[in-house]
Amino acid sequence: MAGNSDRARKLLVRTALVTGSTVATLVGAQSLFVLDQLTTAQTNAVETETNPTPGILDSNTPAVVNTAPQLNIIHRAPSLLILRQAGTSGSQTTSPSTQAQPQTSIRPPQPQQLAQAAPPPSQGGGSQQWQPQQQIVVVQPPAPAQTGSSR
Amino acid sequence: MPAGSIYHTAFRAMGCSVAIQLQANVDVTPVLTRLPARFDLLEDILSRFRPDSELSRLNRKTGEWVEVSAILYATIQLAKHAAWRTNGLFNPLILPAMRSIGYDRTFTALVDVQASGDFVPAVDWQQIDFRRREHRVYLPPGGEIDLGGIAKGWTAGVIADELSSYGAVLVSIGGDIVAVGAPNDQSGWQIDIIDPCSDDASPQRAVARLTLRDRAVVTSGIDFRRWLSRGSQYHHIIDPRTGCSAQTDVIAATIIHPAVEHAEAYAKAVLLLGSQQGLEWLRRQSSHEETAGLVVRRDGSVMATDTLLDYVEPSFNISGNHLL
Repeated sequence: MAGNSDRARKLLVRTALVTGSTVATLVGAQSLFVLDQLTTAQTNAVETETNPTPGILDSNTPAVVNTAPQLNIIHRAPSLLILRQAGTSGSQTTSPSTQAQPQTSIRPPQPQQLAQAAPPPSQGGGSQQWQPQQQIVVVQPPAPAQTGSSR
Repeated sequence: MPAGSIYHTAFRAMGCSVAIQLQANVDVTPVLTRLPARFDLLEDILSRFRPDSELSRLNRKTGEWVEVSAILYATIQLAKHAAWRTNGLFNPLILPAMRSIGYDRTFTALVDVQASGDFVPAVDWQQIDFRRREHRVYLPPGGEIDLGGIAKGWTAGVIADELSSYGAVLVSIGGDIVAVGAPNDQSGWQIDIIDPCSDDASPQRAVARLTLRDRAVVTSGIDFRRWLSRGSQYHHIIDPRTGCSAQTDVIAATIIHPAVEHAEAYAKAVLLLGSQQGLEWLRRQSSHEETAGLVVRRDGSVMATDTLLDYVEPSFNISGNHLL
């Protein structure tokens, strides 16, 4: 009996949390809509300054980074895969600068990389100091996106 | 504009790169142009780096019931949910720990970081409480909250959901990606998992190329946001059990899941648990069939769950059958 009531309680908690997650997304979408209405006037004033005319992607557009290698499965177990052994580069796009190393060396980003990664930090909140440096272009075909450590 | 044009926009927000691709039969330039301003408004609510943000004001009132906005209420709920899903491996009450390791300002402003050396475990996340009718949140004493581990993914999900009314869309915020639909009658959006072992001076390689549709992919990694202080290395992924930078054999953990908030929570958990234990833990989650994970380890090796094969087209090159 105690086990059944405990399971029932856990189910109720879990259902509430899952529902909450869904509601959170809906609430977020609704709240963003309200925020969007408030920002329309401000954005119209900024738009003429910051919105470049969209154009077709041309040769000046930065190229997509290396084509990903085809996935080579080195070992395969019932549920886990080894895709690359220790000490191997694992990439088909090799170059002298990518020699295999027995131990990965991870260095903190250099100051110039940080400077390239971000504009000067803002001095505070508020859209008055917002400088998005946004670019809008039309691409064809779609460019591969990238997932990695947040930069 | 031609039917089915794919619009691509990029800008910086939330301390990282934002990239969005949207396929639409109408000109969506005005819609995309408004996005940076909306991100700025969100940071006024969710950013711990803005002293006057709603989150910062809440953090100055731990131990009290505080009325908050719908957005802040929703994201804190998600954060507690993520903590519940990971049994506390994801714990949003880590702001004090962040400060103790020196991460008390934006990463780009970390020039002369001084870690205090006073590391304490994070306050119990289960003490976060809500009063729905009053829209009030309670943070326990000493339990200042950081939403950096959930806010990017949540925002990506909300923006993607809204833009999907125009067509297939991919939203990437700092590499936390939500992909809805598929462009140009393709099977999905192409997404490269960046190899964290890439030489910083050369173009970044990818360990795998995914094709995703109606999925989220999130990567937690320690290869970029890291620094030195008093001869010790630190990074931004806190182990709530110790209050210090996580000690792990994983450089980067990438998780694919239908729900972005789950992907975010699982990525942190897998990184904290380590490659072997983390991937085995991931397999045991309730929606195993939908979930895939890949880890890159410090020794350069790469491991993944077999469910990753649902999202790539591998050229099979099996050289042995080693049980793991």
